[in-house]
Amino acid sequence: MSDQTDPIRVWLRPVSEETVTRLASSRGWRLEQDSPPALGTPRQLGFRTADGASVVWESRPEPFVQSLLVPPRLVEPLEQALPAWPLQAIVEQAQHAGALVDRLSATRTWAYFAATENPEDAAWVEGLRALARHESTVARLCGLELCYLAVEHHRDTIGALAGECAGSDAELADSWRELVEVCAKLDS
Amino acid sequence: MERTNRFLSKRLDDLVGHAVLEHRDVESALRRLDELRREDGISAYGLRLYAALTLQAGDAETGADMLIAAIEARAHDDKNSDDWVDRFLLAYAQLRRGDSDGALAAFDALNNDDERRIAAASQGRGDALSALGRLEAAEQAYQRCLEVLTNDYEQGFVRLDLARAQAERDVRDAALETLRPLLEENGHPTSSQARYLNARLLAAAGDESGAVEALEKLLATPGDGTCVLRARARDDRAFEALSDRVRFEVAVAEPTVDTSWISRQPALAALLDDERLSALGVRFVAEDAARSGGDELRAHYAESYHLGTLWTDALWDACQKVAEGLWLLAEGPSVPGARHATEIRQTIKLYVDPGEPETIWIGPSIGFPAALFTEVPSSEPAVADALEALYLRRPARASELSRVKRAFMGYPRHLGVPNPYSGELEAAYPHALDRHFNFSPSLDPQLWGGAFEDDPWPDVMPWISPPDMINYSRKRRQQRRGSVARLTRRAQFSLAQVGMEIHQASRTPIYVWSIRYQPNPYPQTIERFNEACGTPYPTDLPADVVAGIHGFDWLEAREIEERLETVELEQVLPYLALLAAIRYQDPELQRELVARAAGHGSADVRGFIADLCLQYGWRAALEELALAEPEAEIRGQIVDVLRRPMPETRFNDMGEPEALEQAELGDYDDDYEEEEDDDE
Repeated sequence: MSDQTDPIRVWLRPVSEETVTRLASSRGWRLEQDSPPALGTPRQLGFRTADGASVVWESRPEPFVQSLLVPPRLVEPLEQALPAWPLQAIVEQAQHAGALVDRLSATRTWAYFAATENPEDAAWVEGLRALARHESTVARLCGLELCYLAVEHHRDTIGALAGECAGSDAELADSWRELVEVCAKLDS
Repeated sequence: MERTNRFLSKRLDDLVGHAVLEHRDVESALRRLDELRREDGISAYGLRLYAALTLQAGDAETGADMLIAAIEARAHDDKNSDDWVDRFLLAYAQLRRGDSDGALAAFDALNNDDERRIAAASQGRGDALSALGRLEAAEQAYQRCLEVLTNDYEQGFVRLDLARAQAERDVRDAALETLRPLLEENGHPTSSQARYLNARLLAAAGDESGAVEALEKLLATPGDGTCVLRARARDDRAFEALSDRVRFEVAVAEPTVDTSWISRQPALAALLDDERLSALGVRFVAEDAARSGGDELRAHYAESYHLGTLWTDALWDACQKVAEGLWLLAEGPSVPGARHATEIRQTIKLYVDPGEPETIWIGPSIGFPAALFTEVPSSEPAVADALEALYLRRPARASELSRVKRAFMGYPRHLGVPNPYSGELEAAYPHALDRHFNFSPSLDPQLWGGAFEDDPWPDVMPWISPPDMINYSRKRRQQRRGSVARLTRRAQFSLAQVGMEIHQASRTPIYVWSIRYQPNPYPQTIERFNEACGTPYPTDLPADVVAGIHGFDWLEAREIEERLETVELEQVLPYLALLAAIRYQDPELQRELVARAAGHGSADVRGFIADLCLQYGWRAALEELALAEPEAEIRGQIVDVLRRPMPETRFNDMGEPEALEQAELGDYDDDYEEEEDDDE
């Protein structure tokens, strides 16, 4: 029985290929797709379940996010079998995690999720603003990179943020100015 | 009588070849071109391809319609465009659908200054005139064609048509004279037909002895074509009047194979009556052929190493050991083999040791390493099952290949493959590997780059001209932007996809195998091979894959991880590089590397890990490395890197990283290979 409904994306905490293939093997899924990552294209492992449903694991090295595309009826069992990362937990970690490395990791996933599934939401742009103003150069670099995901839908906000940072962030001023130019080009 | 028009068949083969190369097979090509036609998106060239496909399939009506549309499309697009080919094909389509007058007028209208086109049109005129029964005029047209052609080979095809027209007009002496050059030449594609016609002419002229002799000579050659001619001769009224019927009957009788040596072996006798084997095209051989087939196999391993396989002494010895005592039991079925610029078929070989008749050894050809022949019991279902599983149940697409294995293949500079001209080993850079695999008895010469999700080549190769082949090959080596270079070739029989990736080209280039396959139903073949050759191959790999990858390195990630636990500090870097290359698609690796760097006291190791992350464009990992880096200098370097876009591998038009060309020229950092060698 194959699912006719649209697949649902389940966001995952980082999970190894071995975990995914072991899970597939234990459930008797057959590997159908094994695509390497490329520019704008994730690493994909596609499986066919015994009853004909399709399960695709995607891993994007840039930004570092992973997800599963599964039929609705498989969401719950797979959320239990793999380290699912619900949006609420992602946002919570992005905003409040104590360790910077954890904040960056969550913000990447949040930004990618929002850019692809909920781009109009303003909250994630605020998350980027927090990184852009962070005292750590690495955090600001991460924020700067993720801002590029938001320029299409939040051009004015990102343009203003980039302009502000170009003035205040001497260390990365040139990079922020480049982002200002990108926003300006989109404007025209 | 249907004429064999060389110009037409060449042109059709060429066009159909292009259509098949673009769309993998005739059905897909027709489907796609039909879609385009319905969407009004088909070009004049597309219409020509469509016409060629339908004409070759015998549908002259559709072919003619497509050609008329092609001529109109060309006239619409550019009044000066060259539509000669369309009009030539259209004239043939008219002839094939019975409009011989129209075809003759169309051939007459094919004026051109080019000699080949004059020859083609003249032969077409001859064919149309023959169809109209105007044989004398047809002969003149063929003579005109022969005058223009200077090449003996091409003249041969026209000669046969001329002789047929002469024979039909009953000018036998002239016909025999026309045929004479063809009778003296063995390799010409028309030789059999010319010899058959010669025998008919001799019979009609009352030269019975000459006719039978000609038939005997013709039908003594083994082969499927001979069977057809034999059957035709038996029913041919031209030979009815021959008085020496006994000699004639012997000449045209189907030869029988004396398989009594098999019947005498209780373990083998039942195979002779196995209908499944017979249906699969398995033909048992006579005792003499069986002995000589075994001798031929042993002789193969008495010579020097053959090209296309990386031989080791252990492999050579193992092959000799398997070949010892074997006789050729049977041949068949015939399956597609290597995809060179035309179709090549392999006839599967079944061997048996008469002293151990309980076991059959199956291999695809004498050139395939005997140590990788599949060993099966000589029982009725086992042999047919093995032939079906190994050679006939071919996966149609990559999605049917359910397993993947990745392993270190070696450093290009340190691997050696024999140069086919000198025999000397040379560094295994991609061009040298292409030449090596061109001779492989197990892997295909055609390859494709990472831009293709699946094998873009047709399952069975059509005829294609060498320049066109070069163009297609280059196009098919393309890579995807932002990816690692991967060049994949198919295993000839299991159709496994044997990918070779080129990693870290700007540092110390590393090759990695990425093999996608269906598990080998006979893992004991690989177990036996590993034991004999001291190799570590997974036993579920197909035998043709192992034959192709033998002689290169094979080191899987797990083994590298184990070595990393025990090696000295200076050995850590090369192993980390290998691990990154094998597991670069696995996000867990980035986390492991970051964790390893965070806890490592050596700045060299931490810097090296950062460099690896840079090679693969792992920005998130670099950010984490920067956060954890205790030394300001290294941290500053990583931050500098993060300010810029991640680097992207640039590929040349052969689908190889541009940096690899520098490596091939010797201009690269070889700082840790020596250490790796020491460890080996």
